[in-house]
Amino acid sequence: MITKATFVNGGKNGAYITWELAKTIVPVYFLITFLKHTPVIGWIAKYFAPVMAIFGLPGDASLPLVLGNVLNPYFALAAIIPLDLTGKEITILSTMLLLSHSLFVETAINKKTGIKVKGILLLRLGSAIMAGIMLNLFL
Amino acid sequence: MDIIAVVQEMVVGGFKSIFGIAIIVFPLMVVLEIIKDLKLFDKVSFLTKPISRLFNISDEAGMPILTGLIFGITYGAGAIIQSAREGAMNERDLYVVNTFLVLCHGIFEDTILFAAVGANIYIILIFRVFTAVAITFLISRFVKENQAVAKTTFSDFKG
Repeated sequence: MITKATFVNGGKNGAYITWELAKTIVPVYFLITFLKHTPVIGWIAKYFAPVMAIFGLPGDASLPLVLGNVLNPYFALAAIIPLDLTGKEITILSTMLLLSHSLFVETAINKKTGIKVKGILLLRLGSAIMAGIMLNLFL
Repeated sequence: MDIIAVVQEMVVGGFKSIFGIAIIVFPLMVVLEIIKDLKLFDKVSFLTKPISRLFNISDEAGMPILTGLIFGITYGAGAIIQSAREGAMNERDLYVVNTFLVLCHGIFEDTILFAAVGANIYIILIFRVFTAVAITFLISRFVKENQAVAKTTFSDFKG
C-alpha cells in the first residue's frame, strides 16, 4: 500500500543518504581541490601516468580509482568532480569503478554469504581492467 | 596560490556537488520505497525465472539477484543468506549469484550518480550489465564441471 509513510520513509532515506554522502564528499572534494593547486597532484599524475595510459586516462585519475576501490564509490565521485576530466575519461573511469569498488567492505559481505572470495576479488579487478582497456579502444 | 579563490572554489563546488546529488537521491529513494510498499517484488517471478534459467541456477536463486541488482549488494547478500538458510540454494548457486552481484548491483543509484558527474549513462549501464551477464554465464558453465570434480575428489578422499 502506498501511504504517506511511503513518501516520508523515502524522504528520510534520501536525507540520510545525502547526509552520509555529504560527510564523505565535502572533505574529499576540499582535499582534492586543494591538492590541485599544489604541486602534489602533478607528482601523483606523473607517477601514475604510464599505468593510467593503458585506460586512456591521465595520471591524476588514479586518485578516484584508488579511493573508490579502497573506500567506496562516493569518495571516487568526490575526487572526479574537481579533476578536469573529459566525458570519455569519466565514462571509462565510471565503468571501471562500477565493476570494482569498496573492495574491503563488499568482499566481507560476499564472505558472509558463505563462499571463498579470492576468485571473486580477482574477477572484479580483472573485469575492471579489461573494461578500461576495451572502452579506451572503442570510445 | 590565491588562497581566497581556492577556498571559494572548495565551498561553491562542494555545495554544488552535494546539491546535484541530493536532487537525484531524494526522488530515487521515494521510488524505491514505492516499489517496496506496493510489494512489486512479489509479482516479478516472471522476471527471475529467465535469470535462473540463463545461469542454470535454482528458481529461488533468481530473487537475490534481482534484489541486489536493484537495491544494492547488502540487500542482495541479505536475500542470499535468507535463501541459503531456507536451504533453497546450493553451493553452486551461491557462487553464481555472488559472481553476478559483485559486478552488478544497486544499478539505479550507482549509475545515476556517476552520470551526474559526467559519465555517459547508456555506456556505463549497458557495459556493466553486459559484462556481468557474460562473465556470470561463463562461470555458471564452468562451475558446474569444477564443482563435480571437486565433489568426486572429496568423496574419493573420504572413501
